[in-house]
Amino acid sequence: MQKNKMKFIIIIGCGRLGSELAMKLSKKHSVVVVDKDERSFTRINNMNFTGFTLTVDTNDMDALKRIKLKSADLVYIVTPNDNTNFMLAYGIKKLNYDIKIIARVNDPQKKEIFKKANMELFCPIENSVNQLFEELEDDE
Amino acid sequence: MRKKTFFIFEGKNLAYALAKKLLLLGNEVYYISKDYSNLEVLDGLKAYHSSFELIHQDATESSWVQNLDINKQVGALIVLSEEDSLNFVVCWLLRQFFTKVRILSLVNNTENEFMFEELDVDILTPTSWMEKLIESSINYENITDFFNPYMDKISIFEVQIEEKDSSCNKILKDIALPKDSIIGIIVKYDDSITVPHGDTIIEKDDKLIIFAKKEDVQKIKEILK
Repeated sequence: MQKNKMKFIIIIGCGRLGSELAMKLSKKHSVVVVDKDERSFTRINNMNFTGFTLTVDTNDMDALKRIKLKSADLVYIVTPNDNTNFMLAYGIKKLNYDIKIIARVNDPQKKEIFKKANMELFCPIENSVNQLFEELEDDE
Repeated sequence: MRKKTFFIFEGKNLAYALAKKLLLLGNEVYYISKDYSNLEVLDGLKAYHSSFELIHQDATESSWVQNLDINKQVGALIVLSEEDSLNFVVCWLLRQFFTKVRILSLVNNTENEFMFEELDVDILTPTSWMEKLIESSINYENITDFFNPYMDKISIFEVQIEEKDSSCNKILKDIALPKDSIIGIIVKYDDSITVPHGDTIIEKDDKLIIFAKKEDVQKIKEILK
């Protein structure tokens, strides 16, 4: 990421991961957090989140039209449901928005289908396992 | 109908009803679900149908899908879960490996249709059918049965004409059908539709859509065939 350049970032899914990500990114960037459940914003609101929140039903692709995707630089899709993440990422791609999309893969075994569809992904479980493994290696 | 193989993915009661129907027509059916409670719903069918197989499997697993035995005998792959995103991932994955096979999917939210159409998947949208049904019953208060409100008295049925049939190549007015019955529509061999009149000639491969009283149905079939 370029320094000092403010980006417009959309985060879909405001669970623990989404909200922590939103808090961190909102220090330097303009952030919109999207979730289908209004209550999930309690967490970031309690932490004095300075970005925007948006309640949209992410189960239905109509949601994508409600989010201002066109002006976004980057979209993180971090819901706890891999199928939803896949469909949303695929849908954004299909709508031809030229945005960088990063999708969360919860089940490491599902990584393969995201890769197959040429999606940029990150897999927290795999990352944690690797981190723990490396720490163990370092100890030895 | 020739025997075919059908794969049904996920779904509960709808999957049960469909599997049962396909089995009764003499087909082979595989039902795949990652959910034991779904498998239990369909387990009962095994007792009567030896060509029914239950598979406990997550159908979004790429390596499993890749090794599916999809051959010419496969009638269709049918995806029926109540979760559109699951249906989408399964359809997408199936389409990656099997480009020609027919895939049908339940789409619960009509807004998601375009995603499935993109994959060349035939979509089933009961929600929009029901919307239309309810809408029409609101607009025309008395009609609660959208298709045939008088179904206990009137039959709407189809007769397919073959060359050997007695009515083939005859003019409609020369065929004496029972009183109060009518050939409403003729669907020609190329699926074009005509509303017949007295001089219309009945031809080979015509499908006649007939409206008649329940008790006359058999008699009409005998006259035409």
